[in-house]
Amino acid sequence: MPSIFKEVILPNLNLKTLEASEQQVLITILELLDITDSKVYKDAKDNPSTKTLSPTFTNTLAQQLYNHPKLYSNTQQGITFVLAWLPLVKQGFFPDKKSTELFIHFFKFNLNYFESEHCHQTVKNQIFEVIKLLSESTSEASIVVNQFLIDSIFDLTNIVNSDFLIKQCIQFNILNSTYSANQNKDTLDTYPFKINDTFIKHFFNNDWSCFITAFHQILPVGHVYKSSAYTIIANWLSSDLADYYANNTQSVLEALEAIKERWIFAEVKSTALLHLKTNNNHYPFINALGAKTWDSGDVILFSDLNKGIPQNLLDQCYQQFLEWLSINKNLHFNTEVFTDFAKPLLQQATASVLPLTSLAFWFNTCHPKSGIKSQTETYNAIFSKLLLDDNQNALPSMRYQNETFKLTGPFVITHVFQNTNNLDVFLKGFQNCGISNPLNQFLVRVFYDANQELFNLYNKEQLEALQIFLLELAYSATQTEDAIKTQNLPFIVNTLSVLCVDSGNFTRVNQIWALKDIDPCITTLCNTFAAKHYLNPNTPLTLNQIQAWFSYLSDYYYSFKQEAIWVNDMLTTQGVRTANFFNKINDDVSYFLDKVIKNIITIHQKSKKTEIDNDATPQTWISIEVFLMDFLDQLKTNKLNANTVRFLFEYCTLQTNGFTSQDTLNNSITTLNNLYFNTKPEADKSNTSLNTVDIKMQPNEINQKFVDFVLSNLEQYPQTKIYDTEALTFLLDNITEFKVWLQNDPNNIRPRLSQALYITLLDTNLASNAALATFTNLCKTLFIQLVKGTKMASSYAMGLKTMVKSGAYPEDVSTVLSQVAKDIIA
Amino acid sequence: MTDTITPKIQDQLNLSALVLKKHHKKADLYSWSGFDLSEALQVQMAKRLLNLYGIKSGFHLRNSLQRYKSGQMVSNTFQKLATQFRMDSTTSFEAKYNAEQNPKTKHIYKLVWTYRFSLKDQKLIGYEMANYIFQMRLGLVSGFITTHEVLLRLEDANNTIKSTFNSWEAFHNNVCLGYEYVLGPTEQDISKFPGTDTLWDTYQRLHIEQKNEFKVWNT
Repeated sequence: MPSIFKEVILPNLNLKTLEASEQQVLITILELLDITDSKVYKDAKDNPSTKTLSPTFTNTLAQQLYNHPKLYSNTQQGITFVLAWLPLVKQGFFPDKKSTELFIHFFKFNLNYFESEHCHQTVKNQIFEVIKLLSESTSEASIVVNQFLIDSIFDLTNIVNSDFLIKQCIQFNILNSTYSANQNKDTLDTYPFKINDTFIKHFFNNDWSCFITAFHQILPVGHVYKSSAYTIIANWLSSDLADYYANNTQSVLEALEAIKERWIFAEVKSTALLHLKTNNNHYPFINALGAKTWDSGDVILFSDLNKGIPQNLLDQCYQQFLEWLSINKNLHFNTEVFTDFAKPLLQQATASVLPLTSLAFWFNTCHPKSGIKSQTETYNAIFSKLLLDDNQNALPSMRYQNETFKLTGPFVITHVFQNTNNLDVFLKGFQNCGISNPLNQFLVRVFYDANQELFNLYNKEQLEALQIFLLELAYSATQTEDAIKTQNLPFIVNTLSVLCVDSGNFTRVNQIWALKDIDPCITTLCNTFAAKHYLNPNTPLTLNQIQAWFSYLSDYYYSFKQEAIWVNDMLTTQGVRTANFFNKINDDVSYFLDKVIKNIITIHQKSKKTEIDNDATPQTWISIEVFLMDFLDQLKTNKLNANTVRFLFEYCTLQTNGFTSQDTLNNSITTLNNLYFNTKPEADKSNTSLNTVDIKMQPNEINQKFVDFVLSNLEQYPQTKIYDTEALTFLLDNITEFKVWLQNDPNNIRPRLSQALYITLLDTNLASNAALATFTNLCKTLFIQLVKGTKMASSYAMGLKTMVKSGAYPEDVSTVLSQVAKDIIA
Repeated sequence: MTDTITPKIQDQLNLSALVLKKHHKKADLYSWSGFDLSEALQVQMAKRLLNLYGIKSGFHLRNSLQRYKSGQMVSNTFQKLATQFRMDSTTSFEAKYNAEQNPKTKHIYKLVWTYRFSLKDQKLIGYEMANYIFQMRLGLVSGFITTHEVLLRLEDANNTIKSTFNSWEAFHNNVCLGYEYVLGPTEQDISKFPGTDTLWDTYQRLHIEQKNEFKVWNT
């Protein structure tokens, strides 16, 4: 290659036109070119003046070396010539402005050749090596080469050439470091390739708008997926450009359009430009994005944004994004942009970056009444992850008024749902779809979070509706998977326990309590709740409540202490309280107490018999004894019926399985018994009440007391199991005397006696019990004796016949009854 | 439900046979629930019945059992009415009967009047306890109750029934009367609803198909 210097250039080089210092340089150059055998070299070497001076490479010498227009007339020769520069250029001997322009002219003219296959790759590489060196050199050549390159890559009229140059520039990393230009006439300064005022001055005639227009025009141009002019320009982006955009909003919008077009045509992102920011951390592009109405392209741009952008800017973008989503009831839902960009965007977001309005968007779009199925499914999946799954136990934080805002129940109710006036209608919309619907899961959390505030937000009727709503939701959980149950049911139950405060509303208490069977995760919650209401020491007791306690006692027992577990607490703690309650009641409660105590004793007996439960909690019967002890100790002695006392006494003395865990209980029952039956007869003298006359009497004479005693026994035998044949026999033996006494009886006890005897006739238990045949027969005979010949005889006979006809009696009894009927009217 | 059904338990379960057959024709009397749990259709049917009784959980089931056991379902009202009627004469009853407009109440009046003496003690306990057992068996299908608990309750239900009645006939008679009391004149007329069985039909069929089960009244 250097031969072209030897053969063409050196012969024309006139040494005399060169200064000594230039000759000195020439020697170096020639040594570089390895042309030491030429005459010029020898002459220069022989020139004694050259040795003293420092070498200087001047424009004159450069022109001597590089400015040879004739060589460019032939392409190959021109190429050879330029390639021969390489060793010189590498050493910093750059052509002057004029020669460079000449070279650029040649290069431009032959571009098509360089692009073609005829041009060898090595040649190409070397040419561009020269260009790169020139472009980055601190010489006049730099600005010339760079101006050409920049003009070319912005040139829309010759895409083929510009495309080629762009490719080469990227390959050789040209236009990416620095260039030099004249600051003034003499000095050259080095500048980086950054878009700023100087850059514009150097390459765009000091006209920003000229650059901006060219830039926007070139942006969408390029091959699909390939690098383009943008790849080069992206390295030039600077805060100065950002400043320019910040001051020219219209340009930003144009640029955004260009970026979108670039995306659409070339399918490449323009991330660097989009994220352009000023030194004040101002993002003109993202700012503009947040301020404009969006189309699908903007969604794509938004999805390209990097992390680390101030959340305030993103807030506006999200707002626009939501508005884009909700245009015409999700017009864009079925588009590619939604599937490929909007959906992943939402899926990758977190609740803390979403604006509060997205809540409203979600509820509007997915409302069970109006939502479109495909959309509802998609959005529910997205939002339930963001707002529910990511915050297991509470409401999420979202963006509100450019701040991260921790949602609270009351806030959501008043600001988002705004349903304080129309809760009923609001809830109706959601009720049917059950807890599996994420909207409901969110609602449940809102209400849970609102807690006591609910009382301020809603009136009583609304709270009632809310409770029913929550109950419905809870039941809908039976058909859902476990994850939904364990997450949401505790919220529901807790909210209900807050809402259900009315004491005495046991229907509601039971409704809530019953939820425990839906899932084990709320069993304890529900039981605690029920216990709180059933054993609330602050609300006055009622008879109904006490009755309920002992109804649940049997559940507690039958279920092996799995159900109604608070019953144990009731038994062990409420004895004294219950007694005090009865002590304060003035009415006669003996009947009620009798039932209650018998109920308790029944369970006690059963529990003792079936001592199979062997877990840690005490046996039911032990707790029962604790209750009875507390209760009977505290209860005023006049509250119990004598029968009840005797029943208790008999139970603890006669039964083999009496009270064994509490000695004091046995003692107090004995005391009670003594009180009733050892002192009672004296107290009884003034009291003719019949119900406690049940002591054994020796039949000796017919008097008021004796007859009362007989009647009492007859009326109460099913309970007392006393079949007093002795007394009946005595009466029958003295029947004439008895009838006379009855006729003179001022109290007219005869009809009652007849009625009592009549009932014994109709008692099938009695009839079927052979052991009591004597008693039955005595009753029958006495009945006939007493009724026969009276006005009532025919009525009784008719009644008996009806009974026989009813078919409710076995044949033998029927026969007896018919016989009696005949006897009394005979 | 691994517990085996001993003859004693079978005898106790049989107390609900009539009611079970009435509600579920294909019922297997010799299983715990009477329903074939491997057959989805039968399980669904049991659940539908539970739903009909308003039983959504074990809690509801126990409350319902409590109501049957305490006589709140029918016996208490029956008894109240019967006590009233026992004081009435034929004339005063007729006056009451004629004054009543509601055909259902009229029907009840008539029934109570007939049995005001004969069912004085038994009331409609047979009907109630049969349903008590039947509902427990239904509860087993949905897992609302365990067989342990059923056994415990069954024992007591059995005691109640056996001490109240003295034969299968008397007991079944009471069950049927209870049904008549509750359903009133609304029992389906097979001429209008072919294919449906009345309780009496079921009763007869039961005695034809399982005649040996209902002979001995084990107390």
